[in-house]
Amino acid sequence: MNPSFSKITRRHSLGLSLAVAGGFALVPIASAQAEFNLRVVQGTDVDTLDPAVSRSTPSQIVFNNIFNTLVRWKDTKLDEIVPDLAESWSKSEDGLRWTFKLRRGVKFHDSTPFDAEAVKFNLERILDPTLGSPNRSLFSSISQVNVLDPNTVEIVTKEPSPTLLEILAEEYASINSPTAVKKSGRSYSRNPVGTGPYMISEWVPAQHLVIKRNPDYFGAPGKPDRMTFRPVPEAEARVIELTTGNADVALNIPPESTDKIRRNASTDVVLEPSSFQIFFELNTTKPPFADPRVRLAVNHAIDRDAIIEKILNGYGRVPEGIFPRGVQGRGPRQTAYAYDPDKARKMIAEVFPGGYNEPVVIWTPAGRYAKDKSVAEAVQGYLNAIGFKTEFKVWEWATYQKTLYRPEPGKGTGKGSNDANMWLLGTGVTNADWRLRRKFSSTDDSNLTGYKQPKVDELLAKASVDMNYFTRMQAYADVQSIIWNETPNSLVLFDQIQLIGVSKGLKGLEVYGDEIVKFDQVTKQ
Amino acid sequence: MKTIGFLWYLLRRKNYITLVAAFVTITFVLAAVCAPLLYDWDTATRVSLSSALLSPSTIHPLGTDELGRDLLARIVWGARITLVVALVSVTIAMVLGILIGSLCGYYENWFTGGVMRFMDFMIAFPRTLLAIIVVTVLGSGVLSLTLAIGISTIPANVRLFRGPVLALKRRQFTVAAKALGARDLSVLFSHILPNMMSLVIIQGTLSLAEAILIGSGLSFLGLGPQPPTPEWGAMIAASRSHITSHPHVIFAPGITLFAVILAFNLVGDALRDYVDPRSRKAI
Repeated sequence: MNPSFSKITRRHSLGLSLAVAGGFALVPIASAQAEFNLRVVQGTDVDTLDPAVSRSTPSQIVFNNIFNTLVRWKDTKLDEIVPDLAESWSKSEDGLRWTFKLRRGVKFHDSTPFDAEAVKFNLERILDPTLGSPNRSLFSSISQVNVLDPNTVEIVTKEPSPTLLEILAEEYASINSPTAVKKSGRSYSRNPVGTGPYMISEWVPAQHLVIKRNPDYFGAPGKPDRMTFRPVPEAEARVIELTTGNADVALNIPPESTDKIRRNASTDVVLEPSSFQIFFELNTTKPPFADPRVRLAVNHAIDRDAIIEKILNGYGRVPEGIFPRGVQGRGPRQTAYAYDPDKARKMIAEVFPGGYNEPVVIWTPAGRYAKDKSVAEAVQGYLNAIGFKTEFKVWEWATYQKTLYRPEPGKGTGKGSNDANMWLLGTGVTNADWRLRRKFSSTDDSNLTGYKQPKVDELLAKASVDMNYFTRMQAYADVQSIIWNETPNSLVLFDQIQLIGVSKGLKGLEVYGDEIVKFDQVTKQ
Repeated sequence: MKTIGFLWYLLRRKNYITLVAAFVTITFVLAAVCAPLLYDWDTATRVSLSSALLSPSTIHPLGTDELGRDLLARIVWGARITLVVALVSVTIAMVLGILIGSLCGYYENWFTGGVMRFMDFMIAFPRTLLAIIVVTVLGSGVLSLTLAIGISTIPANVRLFRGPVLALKRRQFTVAAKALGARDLSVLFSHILPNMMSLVIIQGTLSLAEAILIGSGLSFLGLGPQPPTPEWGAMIAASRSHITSHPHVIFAPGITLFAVILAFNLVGDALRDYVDPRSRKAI
């Protein structure tokens, strides 16, 4: 017998002989044996399959298989943009008009031909306020989309937009079939139609989502015949699914389970750097964190090495700047904040000579980020140790997120977060402009801390229209340095490391820093 | 004195399992009362990552949790919180349950009928769900946890205590007291209630066990006291992910919770036999 025959194949052949004994037809089962179904378990369910309105990672992992974008990143290094549905592009002298030549002969899964009209339809759809896409502001620089001929489309921007290509490479800019969108209406989010290597086969929400290979794909055909995505919220349960052979890939593995997965003969752990940084945002509109000196001081009160080693089992990195590896425009490495409680105490005493006697309100979600609640409790311990009085509140993620971002005009930060002094969050955005603008521009809706720094606002505004790549990246580096050394808006905790559990012999995973994984070229021995 | 009488009764009946259960119960109550003498609050709550997840030793008899806190200290302090929550919530549920139940049994009119239908409506909700609704409205914390358990137990208690009142108010001694001119409240409190004390005691003991279970359950879901306050359910939830690598962290609070609830149930059962004159004579 072939020595490379795996256990699973042997089990299948046992099933086969039983099936024959039972009098079943041989042919369909034999073909089922040859089929490669890649089974993936994720922490949360796919929320919607309409790329224009989704912003959750589990959905985006699926989108990458069903859809294409006009352009895409070449690889996980995020330093080169390559053609996808557009074959080539050029921009006008003033930088306002971009012309894209489109790939010919591409068809959507429903046989609608892909053309310039489809591009226009998709971009105008996401810009339409009646769709209510949470990603609309990302595309707000686009003022017009013109069809020049069936294979040429022109995009006009309000101001020179250096980030246009990066925006068009986002999953939100996926090109949907106009026919399908019009036909399905509101139920389109259940019946997505794209041009990608896979198409939807079946989706039972909270149970499983199955996609099958698109035989007419224009690019390199997908390797697995099918992929099945299942939500398994409990981390320990995902590990069990993997080690018992019920899944080929388990995403977001808890640090303490890595040894168990490695000890298992048929599974292994893949480590990848992550663009996710975990931090406590500090409310800059009220004491004690209104003063930047206190914000710097608390950064010295935390022993990050101990948190990483003891709570995260070593799977994390001490931040050396607000951009972890894998984020575009990462500036020069900053000096990590040293753990020095005495220094922290002294710095706080300068601002509050008698000590700060009001309680500091700490909020944390439970179960969203790696060991979030335990890390938050440890931070509470460190803050108590330098003389703060603390109040702790644990939230369920959905309510937490809603509360944080709920606008409350006239109240401090103007957000629901204003009742707290600090709250735990993480961000994995890899686009430099968007990552900084969301959190540090004084006018952005996602700026929850009420952070306001004229110098930072000015640098970001200038960078957003700067067509020179190098001066633009320099501006981002300057902003990172100001925030790290002078006026932070958060208590930085750690840079995540992605832990993915896979069955042995699985090859070809393409893992991006923002925890997006591409599966279409995966093979299994 | 009564406790010793009860223990002697258990010994005489050779009911050794319940005897052990009684000692577990007593240890639990003693630990809860003496917690501040055994460990200070700081030992139970201070984070010290350098001593995280230690195995049991002489310094830490049950080991430490993932933030380096002594597990025995946390269990002892957790006992105090568990006991307070259970006692107060059961008191609320018993007092209001007896009051509403006996009034509804004694006066039978359209109003008390309406109250009973409302109680039936409340019973239709699973208890845990009812408690979660109360916690959601009041916000999480020790006080709202106590109220949640108390309030969610009231409907069942009302129904339970109304039954005997219905029966007792038709008995001859009650009718006689009324014929002699006793007022309603005096009939209720000096003639009817004393005759159902055994039911009150048994229901009280059994509800304590149930209150501990529901309280830990809600805490496990994160609806109880907020960290760093030690609570058994929350401790189990926090150490869930260490079940394969450091099982002692989850087994310590888990086995304690299991033992205490089992003990309360066994003692409650034995207490029923003890206070029921018929079964006692049958020894």
